[in-house]
Amino acid sequence: MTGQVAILISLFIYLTFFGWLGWRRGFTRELVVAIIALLGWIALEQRGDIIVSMANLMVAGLDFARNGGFTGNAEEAFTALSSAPAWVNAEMQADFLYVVWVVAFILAYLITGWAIPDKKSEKNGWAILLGILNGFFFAMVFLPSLGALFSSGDSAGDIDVNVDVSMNLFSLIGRGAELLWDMVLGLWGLISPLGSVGILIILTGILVLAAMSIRGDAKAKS
Amino acid sequence: MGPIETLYLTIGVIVVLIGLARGYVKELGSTVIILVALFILTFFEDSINSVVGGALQGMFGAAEGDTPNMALSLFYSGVFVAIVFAGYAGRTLTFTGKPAPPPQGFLLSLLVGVINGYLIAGTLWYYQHAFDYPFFQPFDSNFTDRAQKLITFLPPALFSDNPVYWIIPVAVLLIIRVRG
Repeated sequence: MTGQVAILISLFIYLTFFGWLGWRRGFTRELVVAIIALLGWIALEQRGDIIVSMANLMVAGLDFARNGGFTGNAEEAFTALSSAPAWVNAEMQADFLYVVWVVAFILAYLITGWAIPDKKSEKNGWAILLGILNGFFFAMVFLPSLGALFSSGDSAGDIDVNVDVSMNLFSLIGRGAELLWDMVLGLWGLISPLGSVGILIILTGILVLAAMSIRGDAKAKS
Repeated sequence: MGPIETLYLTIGVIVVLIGLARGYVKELGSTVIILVALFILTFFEDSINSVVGGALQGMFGAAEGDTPNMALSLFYSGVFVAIVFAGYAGRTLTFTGKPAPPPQGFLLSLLVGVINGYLIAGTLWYYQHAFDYPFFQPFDSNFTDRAQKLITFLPPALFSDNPVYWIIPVAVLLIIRVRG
């Protein structure tokens, strides 16, 4: 139970931080980051082999030039090129794609920071939501490796940096939602002894709070 | 999560999103209308049941004692949906003024949207459950424990012993509105 409370508090602090960050950065910036992260994730999941082939081709091209492809015997160079081992082999493919995605995500964060002016990035509630979504992406990027870093190992060599290359965003969000649901149930445990009167008090309280916070002319028109 | 609560949770989420898009100032007017609709439908439930049941027997010759589940479910759901639609789209009671700046304004829109989502989705669910799901059988008739628990807290079931409770938040909101 204590562990759950600690996890819940951590989740709240984490989401609040990214919500606040989203609000500070504004809607447009957060939207661009979210789109790049999401599209990049889908593209790398679906068409990652193309990126790998391109990377292999680029590295092979550099080797080709270095081995005298443009100056020496072209036939030998081509033979060397075709027989050269792939820079990114099948074993490394998942790790490589993960790194590509992380780089694109962080670059998107940094570039939107200076390329989109403050005036064009409105600070509103949607920015907070997108900030939280991007927070989930950040968690997806860093939590697996940080978890491995802080896990107890006898020596540095024992640490298993098991990077979650499956990029399971949905399970992460699902776990977050589960925690929130547990919190709702916990709150419900406090309210339920009051029965329907408790719900009435909460419902009326929220509506009064909302009505009282309307500023300026709060008169109704019919 | 079982399918039946997923269905109504989805309706609730859609209402919450509409609430977020409209903002809580506009949503409060709709909330008042929904609460009044709930009060009317629950306060006059016995009378409505006998009038609609009697009308069905008169018009279609339904045998006395038959439970006109489909007609009653259709009536309650139809009236409720019509009132909610009028509350959202029609010329209705609205609060005017500026909403609080974000993030408070956003949170209030979210909270009021959640209340409206609960009231709308919960009431629709109730009028299916109360009349034994006449329009569709739930995908999984073995409800989960969570669904069975939720059913006891659906809006019309909440103050079934004293529906006047629904008028309390309406009265408070109207006082705030008149006070300005």
